[in-house]
Amino acid sequence: MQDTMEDAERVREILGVALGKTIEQGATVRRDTEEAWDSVKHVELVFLLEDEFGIEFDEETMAELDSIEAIVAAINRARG
Amino acid sequence: MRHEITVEGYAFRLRPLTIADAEFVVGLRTDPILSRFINPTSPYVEDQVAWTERYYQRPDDCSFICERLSGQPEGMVSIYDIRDDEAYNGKTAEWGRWILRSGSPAALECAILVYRTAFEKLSLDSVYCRTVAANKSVVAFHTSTGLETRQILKDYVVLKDVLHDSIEQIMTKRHWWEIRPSLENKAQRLAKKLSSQGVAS
Repeated sequence: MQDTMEDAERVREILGVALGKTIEQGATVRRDTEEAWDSVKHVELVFLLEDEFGIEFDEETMAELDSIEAIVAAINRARG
Repeated sequence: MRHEITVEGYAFRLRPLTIADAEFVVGLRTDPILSRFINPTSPYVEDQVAWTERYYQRPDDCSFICERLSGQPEGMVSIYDIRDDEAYNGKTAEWGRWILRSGSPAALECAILVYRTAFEKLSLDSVYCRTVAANKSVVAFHTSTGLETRQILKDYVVLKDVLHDSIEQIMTKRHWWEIRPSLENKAQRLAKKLSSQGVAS
């Protein structure tokens, strides 16, 4: 649980970097409602996450990374 | 028009739209989510075939299928209304009719291929797109790829009986050469990733 919370915090910070804005703790950010989260920013986000966590997302997973919660879940799956 | 322009990138290519693509295009354009910001499309393949036949007759219109290097289609895009226009400081065109299948990773490279086609194949001085203002993710995408807003077109399109503003964003040939390396770096890394997963080619 502690790891998941730490991951969520790191993801929040990385998402903020990718979107070029500060994301407050506990904020709900979803790709379908966050206008700054366009396809270019999404590619940049994927690269930042892969570099930070030392993992690789497959194409199907890339398309599913649409919220902090979904990203944390995908990171856990990628770690096996 | 019937053209023979094919432009290949790192994981995707643009190749001419043909009548054989009609069923694929209808599938995209009648997808309820993908079609939110485009004019209603007939669900009949024969109507798309007829549209393609008419398109072949238009000399200022180049349509493409964006596909993986393996040939798997990802979407459609067009460069049209190609003309000399003093208001745009030279030869210009609009790019649009852009639609990619849900979840496609082709958006960035498709845009790069559009600019390569516009500036290297069609020798345009600029190319612009007009996006429904409410389609914020696409407006943001164009901003992220370096387009500059040229004008707001008030009440420019009607979708489901509602008037919408459109935002015209433009890429000049000069600006393209400035930002091309940065965009190509991202596309190249993404292609390498897709290739390593055995899906790019």
